[in-house]
Amino acid sequence: MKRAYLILLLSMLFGVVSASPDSLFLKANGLYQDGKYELALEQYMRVIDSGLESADLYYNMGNAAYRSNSIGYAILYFEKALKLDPSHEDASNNLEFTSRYRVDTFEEVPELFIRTWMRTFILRFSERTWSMVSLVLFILVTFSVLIYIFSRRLILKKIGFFVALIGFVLFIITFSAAISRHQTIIRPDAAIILAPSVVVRSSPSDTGTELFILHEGTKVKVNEGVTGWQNIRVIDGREGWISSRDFGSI
Amino acid sequence: MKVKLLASALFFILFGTLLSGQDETFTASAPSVVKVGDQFQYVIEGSDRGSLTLPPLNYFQLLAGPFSSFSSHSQWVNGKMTKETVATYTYVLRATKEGTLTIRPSTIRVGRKQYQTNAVEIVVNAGPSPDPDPGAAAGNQGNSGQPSTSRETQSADASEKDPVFLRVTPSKREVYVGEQFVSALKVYTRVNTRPASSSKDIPYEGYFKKSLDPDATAQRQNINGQQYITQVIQRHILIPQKTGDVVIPPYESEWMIPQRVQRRSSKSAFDSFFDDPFFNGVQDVPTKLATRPVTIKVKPLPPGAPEGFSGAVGDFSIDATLSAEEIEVNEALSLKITVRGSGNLPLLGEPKVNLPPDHDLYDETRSLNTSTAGNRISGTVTFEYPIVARHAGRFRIAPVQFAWFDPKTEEYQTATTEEFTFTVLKGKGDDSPASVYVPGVMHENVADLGTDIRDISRTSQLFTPLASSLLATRWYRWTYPIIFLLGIITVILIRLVARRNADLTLVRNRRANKLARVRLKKADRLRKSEEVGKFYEEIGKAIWGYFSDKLNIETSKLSREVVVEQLERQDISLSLRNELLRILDDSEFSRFAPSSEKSDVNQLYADAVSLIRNLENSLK
Repeated sequence: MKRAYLILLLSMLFGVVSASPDSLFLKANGLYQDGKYELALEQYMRVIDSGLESADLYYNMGNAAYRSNSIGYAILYFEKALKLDPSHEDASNNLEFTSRYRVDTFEEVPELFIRTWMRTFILRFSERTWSMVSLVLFILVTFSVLIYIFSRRLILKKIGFFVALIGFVLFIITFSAAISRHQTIIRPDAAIILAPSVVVRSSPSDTGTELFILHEGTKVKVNEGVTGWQNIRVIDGREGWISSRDFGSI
Repeated sequence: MKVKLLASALFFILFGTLLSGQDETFTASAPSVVKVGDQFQYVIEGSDRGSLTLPPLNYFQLLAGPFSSFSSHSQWVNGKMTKETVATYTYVLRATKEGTLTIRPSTIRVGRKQYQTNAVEIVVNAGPSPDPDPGAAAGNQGNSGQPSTSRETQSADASEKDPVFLRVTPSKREVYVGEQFVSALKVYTRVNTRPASSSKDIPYEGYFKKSLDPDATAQRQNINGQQYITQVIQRHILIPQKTGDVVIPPYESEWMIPQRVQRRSSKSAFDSFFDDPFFNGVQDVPTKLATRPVTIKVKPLPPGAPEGFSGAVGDFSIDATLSAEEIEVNEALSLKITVRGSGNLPLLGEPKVNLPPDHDLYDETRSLNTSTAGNRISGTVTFEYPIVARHAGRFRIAPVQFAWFDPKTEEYQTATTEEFTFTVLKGKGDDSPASVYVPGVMHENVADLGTDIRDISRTSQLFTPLASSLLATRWYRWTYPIIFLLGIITVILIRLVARRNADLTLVRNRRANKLARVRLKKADRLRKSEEVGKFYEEIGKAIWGYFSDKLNIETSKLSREVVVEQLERQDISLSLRNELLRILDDSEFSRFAPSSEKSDVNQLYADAVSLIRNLENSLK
């Protein structure tokens, strides 16, 4: 009886090991190395299918997509990698490189500099980083308040006060940033056009007036959606509806 | 020739009447045994010429004829003339059926007399190969009377009844783009003909063409039972350059074709004499002839071309040489790549070569050396890539891959050259030459070779669940309230403890005076009962105990210095402090001193009481 349990346990363990995301990842890397880029992409997809992700995984998927000549997917995966890890240098390099193949170029609508600055500031770190920093700051503020309350020595009291004050302000900033990043994870607000060319329409139906055409690889902001259709906004401020099949959310 | 003919004709006309009196005999002859499909000659021989009528040739085909020849021979012997004339009419026939066949007598009319030849019996055997058309094999076209597989036969009927026609005959009708084939322009004739003007080349559109020498030998060919002479006028090697059905458009040229012409001339005696059917004019008339359009199906190359494919179609090999392996800075060397074989050599794209960067590279030169021997373009193309070294070092030229499509096997083939390395040495002696050509060579920026994405990462960070966010995790959300609560609890606890301690102090503070009084009262009792030693002890105890309670300091830690320091901090006047020290000194000193020197007990008691009272007033 005991032996039967042991065998069961071992087989489960082995099953887990054989399909572990790391082994899938390494297998896909091998396929990529052999130049079988489509197969490698499929293999990477299996990791995603198992419900896991990582910045390096998306980065490699972007490379495989680029090698399979699908620029839209390459840009999408590099963007995803950067969303998970904004400091992924290879991913930002390859994204810039791949973006040269993009068809569409736009005049950017001038934005209030503080907004641009704030956005780039928030996008500087991932949700994980912002969350961790704000938690550490919260603990720091708590300690500083305690020191302020109970310290008998004036200098300690002063230090405690100022650290608590500055820490609290920083905590508010980082926590807001974390929430902002969290929002985009729960409901992605940006997408990449994947179809070679997409007609943007004025209403969410195939009969809607054709407004303009977007091409593979273009990044758009996602507003609201109805089933099968999504309202998008291009960087130059134009808006319209496209079919949900034609883009991939970052 | 014509003159001779005319002369002989005149001769016969002049002497015809003289000869007509003689009896003529005509004999027909033919081989007794022939095979089906074989040509044979049917010859009628007689002693005079006349007009011949062939009998119906049921199972024989008339291929050519009549070819007539006459010879006459006159002799005067002893004043007497003997004359012999021999007329021969030759027909070329072909049997179409097995069996014993008979050619019935032919009729010859000489003047007003009619003669008949004998009948000829021919045994026809089964033919060995019913291929009467030797030219067809070369031209890839079946034009004999038999129903051929080639569609040309049916469509061609109209023009092929003409005595002269032109035809474009490609060697292949279905080729791959880039695949070479031969196309010939042929003239087919039953009569004596020649081009009216110098012929131009056929304008092959959508093809690369290279002309070949036309094959000079004429050939006989049987088309629909007619014997034609064929002659190649032009031949080209063609390489199609676009896919789809590429049509070779009709090509026109003028030919002199002999035609019977009715003379429209007047009634002069001489002319009417020539109006005889025999002289009825045969004249060369320039006639426009056109070929029929020929459609060539050009197939695109199959997909899946390997790397290094630059449009080569044929059969090739590749070879590369490097002119030097060791050079000095600013010297040049060149990489030569030779593609050898047969195919679309003049149209080859240059092979892609990864030359080491950081040197001066010049555009490659191409030299073509081809021949058309064997009716195909073959030879070599040499690509030369000059390199001028600008930096010392050891450099590598990666193997060059060259791929081509072989239409025979219908597959792509790849060949690779070897890898080359070359060493660039620094210039002899002086270092200046480099800077002469390239100033500031030492400060070059790193050349941007980055025309590709960066490679994949070998390992991954820890995998996390999809769309996971730390903010959403339970432990993260609970950490904040827990830390907040912990903070508050800490504050409360510390406060509680502090308050308890504060209470204790207050109690002791309040108790201090009371306890001091109790001790002082005990001292008072001891004073009255004359127990002086114990009195002093009790006074000391009263004062130390008072301080211990009042200042919240443990008795063991009390000392004069501590007490004085505490009093100083509480701004107790110097006189009071001195009074305290005096009383303490007195009480301790008097305890162990001889009685004579003992201070006044009553005075000490009163001082101690007043000291406690004063302290109680000033201490908090």
